[in-house]
Amino acid sequence: MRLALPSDSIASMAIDRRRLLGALIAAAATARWGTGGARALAGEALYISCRVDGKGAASVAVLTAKGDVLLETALPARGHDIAQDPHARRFVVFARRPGSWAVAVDASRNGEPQIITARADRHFFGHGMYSPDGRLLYASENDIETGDGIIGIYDASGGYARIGEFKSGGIGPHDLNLFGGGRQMIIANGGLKTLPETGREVLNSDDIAPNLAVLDLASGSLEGVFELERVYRKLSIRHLARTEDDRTVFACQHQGDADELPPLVGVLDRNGNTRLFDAPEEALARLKNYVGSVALDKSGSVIAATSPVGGTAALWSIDGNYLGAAQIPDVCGVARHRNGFLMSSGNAGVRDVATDGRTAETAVLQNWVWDNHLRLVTI
Amino acid sequence: MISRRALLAGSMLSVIAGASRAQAEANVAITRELVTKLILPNYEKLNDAAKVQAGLWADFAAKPDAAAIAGLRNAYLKTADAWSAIEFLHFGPAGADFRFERISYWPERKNATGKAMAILLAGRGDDGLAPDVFARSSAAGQGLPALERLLFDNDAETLLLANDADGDRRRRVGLAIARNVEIIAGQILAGWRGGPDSVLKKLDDPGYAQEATTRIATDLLALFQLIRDTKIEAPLGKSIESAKPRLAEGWRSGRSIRAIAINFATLRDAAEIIFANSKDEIASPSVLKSAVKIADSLSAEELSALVISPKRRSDAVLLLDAATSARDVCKLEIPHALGITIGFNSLDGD
Repeated sequence: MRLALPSDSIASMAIDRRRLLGALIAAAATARWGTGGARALAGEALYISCRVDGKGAASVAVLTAKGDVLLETALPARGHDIAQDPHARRFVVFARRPGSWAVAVDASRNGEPQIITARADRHFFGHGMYSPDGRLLYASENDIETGDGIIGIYDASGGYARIGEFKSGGIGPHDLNLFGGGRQMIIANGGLKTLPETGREVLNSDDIAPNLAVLDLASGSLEGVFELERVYRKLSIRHLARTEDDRTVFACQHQGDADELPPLVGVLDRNGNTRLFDAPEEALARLKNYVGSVALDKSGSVIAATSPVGGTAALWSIDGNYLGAAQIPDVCGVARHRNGFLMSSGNAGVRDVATDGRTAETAVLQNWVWDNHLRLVTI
Repeated sequence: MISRRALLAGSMLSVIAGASRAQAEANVAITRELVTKLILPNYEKLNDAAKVQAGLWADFAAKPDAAAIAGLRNAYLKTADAWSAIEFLHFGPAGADFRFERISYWPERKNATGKAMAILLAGRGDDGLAPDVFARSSAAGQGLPALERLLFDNDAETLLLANDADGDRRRRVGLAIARNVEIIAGQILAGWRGGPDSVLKKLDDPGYAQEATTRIATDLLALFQLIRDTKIEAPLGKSIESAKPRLAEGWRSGRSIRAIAINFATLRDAAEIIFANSKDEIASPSVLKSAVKIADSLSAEELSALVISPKRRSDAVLLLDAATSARDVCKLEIPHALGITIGFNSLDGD
């Protein structure tokens, strides 16, 4: 692990930003339990997602598939993904890229959420994860000076102080997951160079460098880098899901010409072999070269990949057989639910989708704009 | 005109305000009007045109005749026009079973239509052309763009009239496509208005009606992107040197601008329904009327020719500007009028 402590000046800037963000969140930030709290105790599956309300106010909410909201916390701006501590009722919400804040919420306490600010020369990319023991939080970050991908390390047992960082093994790191039986971390390095001064503009669109990088969690040493074949090098690898037997499902966004229709979803197995999944041409066409989120069902045998651009979610078996699709406008969030999936949309609420694509006709929580990711949580 | 900022604020505010009974009831009424005055009539026209087309192909396959080809081409143009009038809609039965893509797989990807046609034409007799088998073949070979090639490609007439096994197969493929389009158009229409599971019946449920409002509006607004980015900007390119005329829709049959004019007319008709009882000062119907007028004035031209003409390229730019203006107004006014929000996930790139 390479410890990189901030200089005094950087620390003071960080404090200023923390104050600013604290002011933004203000009194509304207190995590608030809704009326359906008893359901959580009854063991009903709970989900978490960021959202925006009718006034444009951003929050994060814990919900049931039936539409009960159990917990909600205001956010300074739109959030992106959420990481949960595997051993505790707490989670961290990351700002959408290029964000400078994350919010840690402890559902076991009715206290004020804690603001985590990015170092002044880093910004968050919207994703993160806890270490298997829950003691550390990892966040995908950008080195603002160089554009190098960084994994920031925060002390989750000590107020989320930033205690170090690893190189991500690429540029534009996005989603993170465990690998190698939990001993390693796998990183979806999207390969897109972006800088805060140019916002979300891709600065290396002609020469993107995506990969899946594997780091040793204890040392941060790079233990493997997996690249797709050259013909697929325009696939920006962005999102991940993990099977219990340690296969990594990855989902991509094509940065090449719109009239190309490369496969967008694949699996990296334990032996380091990658395989991209085919689908009928019309199904690939509907994805519109874009997958925004990916999840596995409870059995780990079915993959759902959502495309808000195409208003569709495509389904494959873990062996790569195309199973069907669901049509939901602006669909992006996806998490396992019962024997299938729960999916959320920016304009069509939250609803069940079966593993063959059959979709519940009516949705719940339609008056919210649900953001990109939906996660199954335990609180 | 209301300022954009005010509209934006209003549009977001109405996500929650959308729960108000008055708004919900108004939306159900607007959605019903859109369905009965725009969607159903346009699917009926598609169904009728596809039936006529399939009938003419059956006659032609049974008795090839040079004089019949003009009729086949005319029937194709009418069916393609009918499709242009309703192609915005993915919501409902068109979105199921890849019906949308099977009627019109466009824009073409990776020469998919050419490849699918090569496979189809290499067959013999009716192999693979039975409706249920054909429906499972490549979508790129099943619909209107494939039929356009058979009718309007170079030497189309000679190839269609050839008195040999290749000519026979070509005619049978044409008939299979025409029948397939007829079947799909019939399935879509039945899904909208036939029986207790039809969309029309399900609109009685207020929750479903509210969702239908959002989805129809989303589809309407997505048509602007299709017109602007795919139908105009892609062939136009950044300069005359980088123009790609073969990316124009329907260039073989010379209907690229005509298709855009019909798209705009559908948007205009929808806007007139949506804003019929609006008390706000709105601009959508008038900017859409202007867009229709501009497109109509050019509809005898072929976009694939304009984009590479030093003298006429400016007309293509004018069409692009008309699409941009109409989009910019409608994307604010339509969600505001309906009290809905158009999701942002599809715009994020994250």
